[in-house]
Amino acid sequence: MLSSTRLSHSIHSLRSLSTLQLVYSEHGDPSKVIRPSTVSLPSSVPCGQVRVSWLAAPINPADINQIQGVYPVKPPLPAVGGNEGVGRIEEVGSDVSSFKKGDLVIPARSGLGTWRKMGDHSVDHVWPIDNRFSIEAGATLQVNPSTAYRMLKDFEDLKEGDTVIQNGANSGVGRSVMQICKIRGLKCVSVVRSRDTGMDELREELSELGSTTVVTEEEMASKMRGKVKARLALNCVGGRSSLFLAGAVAKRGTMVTYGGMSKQPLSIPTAAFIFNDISLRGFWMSRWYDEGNTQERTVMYRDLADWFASGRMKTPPFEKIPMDDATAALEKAQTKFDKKMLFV
Amino acid sequence: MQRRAIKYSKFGDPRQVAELVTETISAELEPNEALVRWLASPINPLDINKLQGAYAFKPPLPAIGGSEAVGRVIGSSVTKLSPGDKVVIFTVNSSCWTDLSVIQGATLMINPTTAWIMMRMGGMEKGDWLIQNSANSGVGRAVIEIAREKGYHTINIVRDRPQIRELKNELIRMGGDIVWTEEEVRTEGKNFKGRPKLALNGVGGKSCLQISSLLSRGGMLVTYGGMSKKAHEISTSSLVFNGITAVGVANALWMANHEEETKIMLSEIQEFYVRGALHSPPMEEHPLENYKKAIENSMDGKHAKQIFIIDDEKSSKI
Repeated sequence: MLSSTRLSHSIHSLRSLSTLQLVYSEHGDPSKVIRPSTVSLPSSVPCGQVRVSWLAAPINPADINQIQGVYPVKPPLPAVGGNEGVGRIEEVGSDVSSFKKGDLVIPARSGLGTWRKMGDHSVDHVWPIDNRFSIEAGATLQVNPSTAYRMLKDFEDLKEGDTVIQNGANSGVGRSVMQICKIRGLKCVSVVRSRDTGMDELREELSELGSTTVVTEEEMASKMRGKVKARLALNCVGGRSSLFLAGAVAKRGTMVTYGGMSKQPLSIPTAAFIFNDISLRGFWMSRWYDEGNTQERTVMYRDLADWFASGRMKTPPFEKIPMDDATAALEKAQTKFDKKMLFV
Repeated sequence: MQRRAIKYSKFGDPRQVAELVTETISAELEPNEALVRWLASPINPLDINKLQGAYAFKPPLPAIGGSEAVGRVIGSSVTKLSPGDKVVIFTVNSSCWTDLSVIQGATLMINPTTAWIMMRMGGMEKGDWLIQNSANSGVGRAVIEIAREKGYHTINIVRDRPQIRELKNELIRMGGDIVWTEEEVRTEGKNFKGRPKLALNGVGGKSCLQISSLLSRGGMLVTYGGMSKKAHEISTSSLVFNGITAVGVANALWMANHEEETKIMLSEIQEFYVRGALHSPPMEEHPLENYKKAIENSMDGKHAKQIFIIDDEKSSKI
């Protein structure tokens, strides 16, 4: 009797609500260990939960590292891939009043698993965002623009006209940084790797986004030495690049590290520490979310909603890929870096 | 008045540009000046760099060498200094390799003050651990002794050498809890249970990477020198995931900004010395005439610290 009830229940669910998700059961090469899996959701949403239809989710470097097992946060396996994304509430549990059908949400924390078409999530695991956000801006709100926003706010009391310098400026965070600098009236020196073709176009593009100066790593090491005195430096490269970045920090300024693309440790000259008295700090967006900061988070998303809605901030170029093409997308995400992959 | 002084009139190899001269100076004092007969003055690494022209502060030339000394006041227009007072000086612009000099009233000591200032950083409390490289240097030894007074545990990193056993024993006798060679950090470091809150770096390069990677979450790396002449390496994950902060310290700058604390520091350090809790590092003594040999010894990396005994007053060493 009991078993037949269960059986009929699951048949009912399968028929009505089976949904696709991208799952990994072991750590390894993402294009090999990620596989599509069809799961069923109960016919009605459990108490304390909301049913989210995920509209878009990017493939970030952190997602790749997490699947490879080299990221400090490791969700229990098997796990659904993806930490960032935007979804719409389809239905809410009977006791849920904080959300309603049609609300846009993003994950409250990393590790939710956003590479899925639909999922039931505890109300604490999703965070409401302004319905003015476009799908693209919402899907990539939580990491890049938020990282840029916090780094420009939490370390130095920057005033209009102050200078910020950043390396890896062509990255997602880098592009957000220069746009927010422009909005806040900050000067932004953007350091990029030099390239054989398209350098002029890149300079022009980054200047248009808000960089006051765009320089190559080589120029930083030669003609720009001693020219920049920045209150704040943002480093996502490390190695030799960080050496010249640290040398461009003004007395008592701060250098914040949020990534290490070169895979080399930071390199800091003695003079920067001893004569210029600079401080080095680190920033990790996930930890900031884990620490709570709910009020600050609401203010931040409101500011970003205003800036995206008014067109003062723009999303980076995406390549949109349906979730059924997961393998190809994951391969591309690890080999092509000019465009972010976005599952839709 | 006549004085002897080791002077240089151009930057270059200290073994070549330094020379001993005899010259006449006025004994008349401006307000807030004192005339001091110097008793002893060491050769610090920064003195060598100053003569090479490789130091951030370049004195106007010709200049007298030296930056730290102990002396006896023989004339004073400074209210807090009277003839007969014993004084110590450390500033990057002081000139001490001479027997007579007019100074402004300042009283500092480079090694113990650097050690003291660094140990008040990083939120250290009694029972906490710190790690340091260059543990056998003047600052390193001062760190060990002051840490013992303050109840901090120390992990001390030294370079491997033929008499490593003797050195380890000596640093442990002074109050060090653990002494490791750089190789031993690699094998022992990760498994060691006492994660330090504070890492003190006078070396740079990979050694900086090594000690900063062992910090506890939210720990602090303080850099006071770069003996290896290599940039200071710090891993991305220490900063991003482990949340460490890295800062530098220059004691002259710090003291200028912390007047009250400086007074407390200096009286504490004096008290440590008088009580015998703090010792000067081993030194080789030279008269001023021997300056060529002393400078050479200080540069070959095989000798203890070199110190000029300028006026042997018998009671002059502190």
